[in-house]
Amino acid sequence: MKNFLIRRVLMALMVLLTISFISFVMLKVSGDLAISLAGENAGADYVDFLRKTYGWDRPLYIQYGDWLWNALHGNLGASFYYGKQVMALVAERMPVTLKLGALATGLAIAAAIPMGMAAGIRPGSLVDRIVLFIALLGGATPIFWTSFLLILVLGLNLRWLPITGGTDMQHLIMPALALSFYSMPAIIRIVRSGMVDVMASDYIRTARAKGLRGPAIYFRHALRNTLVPVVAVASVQFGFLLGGSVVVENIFAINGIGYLTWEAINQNDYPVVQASVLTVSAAYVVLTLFADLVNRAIDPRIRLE
Amino acid sequence: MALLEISDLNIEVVTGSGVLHAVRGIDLAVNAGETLCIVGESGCGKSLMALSITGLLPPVARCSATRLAFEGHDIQHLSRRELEDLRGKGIGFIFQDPMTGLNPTMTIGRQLMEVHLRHVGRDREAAKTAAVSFLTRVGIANAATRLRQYPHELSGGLRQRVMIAMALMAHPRLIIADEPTTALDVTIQAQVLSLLKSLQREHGIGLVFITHDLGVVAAIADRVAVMYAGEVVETGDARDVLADPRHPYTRALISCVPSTTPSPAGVSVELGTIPGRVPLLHGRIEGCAFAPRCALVRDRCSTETVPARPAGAVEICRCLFAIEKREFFHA
Repeated sequence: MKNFLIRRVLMALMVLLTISFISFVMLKVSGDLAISLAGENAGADYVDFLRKTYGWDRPLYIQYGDWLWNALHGNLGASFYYGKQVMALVAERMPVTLKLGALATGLAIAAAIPMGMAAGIRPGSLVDRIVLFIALLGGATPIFWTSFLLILVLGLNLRWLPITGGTDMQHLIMPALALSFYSMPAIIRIVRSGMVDVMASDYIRTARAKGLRGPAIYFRHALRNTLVPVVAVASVQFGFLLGGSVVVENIFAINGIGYLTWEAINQNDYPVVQASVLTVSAAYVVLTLFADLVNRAIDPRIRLE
Repeated sequence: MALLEISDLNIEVVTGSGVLHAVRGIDLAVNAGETLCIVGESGCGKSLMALSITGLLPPVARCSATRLAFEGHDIQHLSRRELEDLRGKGIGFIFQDPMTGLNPTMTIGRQLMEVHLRHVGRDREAAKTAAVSFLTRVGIANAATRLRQYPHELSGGLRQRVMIAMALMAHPRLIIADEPTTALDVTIQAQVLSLLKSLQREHGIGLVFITHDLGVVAAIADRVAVMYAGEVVETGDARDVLADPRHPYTRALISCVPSTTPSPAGVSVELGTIPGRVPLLHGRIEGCAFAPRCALVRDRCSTETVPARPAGAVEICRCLFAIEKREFFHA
């Protein structure tokens, strides 16, 4: 266990280092920052001055080394646009995105597991077809459309939930619903196919031969054996929501990390982009580690490796 | 009254290429404390027959029988709940493959205890005590430690012992064992067989033992039923059937078993094989199902309906020449 953790943490650091390098290089090749920062009518002198000031005239590897050295000392630089420290900016925006992602993933899992189970227990039945249709619908519906529909129905017509602004739970319900509807289909499908396989397995036949009834068979014997891939998929979905909830954060005016990244990219605010990418990747790495730990708890055979 | 009575059992399996008549008109009976061995090649319907006794057939299979009675009550008239109560409690099951037959994410203890909790009583401590005592009884040392282990931490032989203990947990009157030793090493096989036999004697349990191994039959069977292509072709006292089989199929099966006794000097004894394979059971079979593979086949075999009748010491034999051809066999 201790070895496993040490190995995983080292691997995580390597992943983050690689990502930081790739994103650094990609930002550099995306355009000359000095020109865009100087503005349209600036003279060549001013552009040169900016290059010198920020050290962009130096070779790439020195710039990266410089950035890395500072980053290791906890200094990710300041935003060009906000003038604030990047760290403070990210720390400000991250919690709401995390909350939103966790809520959405939780909702998606809570809805997908019962549906996937019901479908997988009797493949080909009416229930199965309805569930697969819901999964198809979830996958085929654009997220902004779901969001607008929710605003229209829950916000404007029924007046149950606030439409925009704010970061408390009430404001997060609608965006979380929209996101969960989007990430639910993958989980439904994996629970369903897992259930189909497990229900045909020898140990389920053994459980039946022992005289166990439906619920004991489905929940005690079958469910746990379908969960390993579910945890893996759900954690990837969660990670995706952290970086990919830009549209939803935009629609519901939530100042999360997705929105911050999107703004920063538009404004060539590259210290912020770099930090956001790194933060989301770090969250991803932590989630994967967490998923592995959960799976080790679910399936004892995984503990051997 | 027999513990288990089956008459005219038919099982049909719906497949992509049509309906398969997997079991065709089987009659069997098992008494309390008796071991009935069911022998036959793969695909002759043994396992389906066993599953049908407690309604465990897969959804693609349908079964019907004029009588399928356990302790005098016809199982076909039981509701789903009554059937669930019967499984484990009245009839215990031991399956072929102990590697896949135990749930990989549950401890041995939980899997054993849940049988007690379901059928005997709700007290967890009592269930635990019972689990330990049954594990000890099937010859597992330090049973209390084993309870906390998962199936993958146990060897195949140990797992099969756990399966046996699990089948015994709710004190069933009948145990159906579907090739319980096939997946095990030969040395472990012998241990498991003698264990089953002694547990059966101790508890007076009826045992239906499905196997394709005639050596196993000789070791444990009181009575034997030889199945071919979904039919019982020969039934009787195990010693009678093995010593003086009347059906050419039984005869052929016995000749396929290698002998460990040395043959007389200079005489080479060839190990038998049965040419061909078990027929596909899609349509009606005219005459004897074994006729195409039978070394003693006559013209009449493929046209006449074969009656099931006593022959010599054997109770029932389904061969037109069961009585007449006896000398021919031994020639």
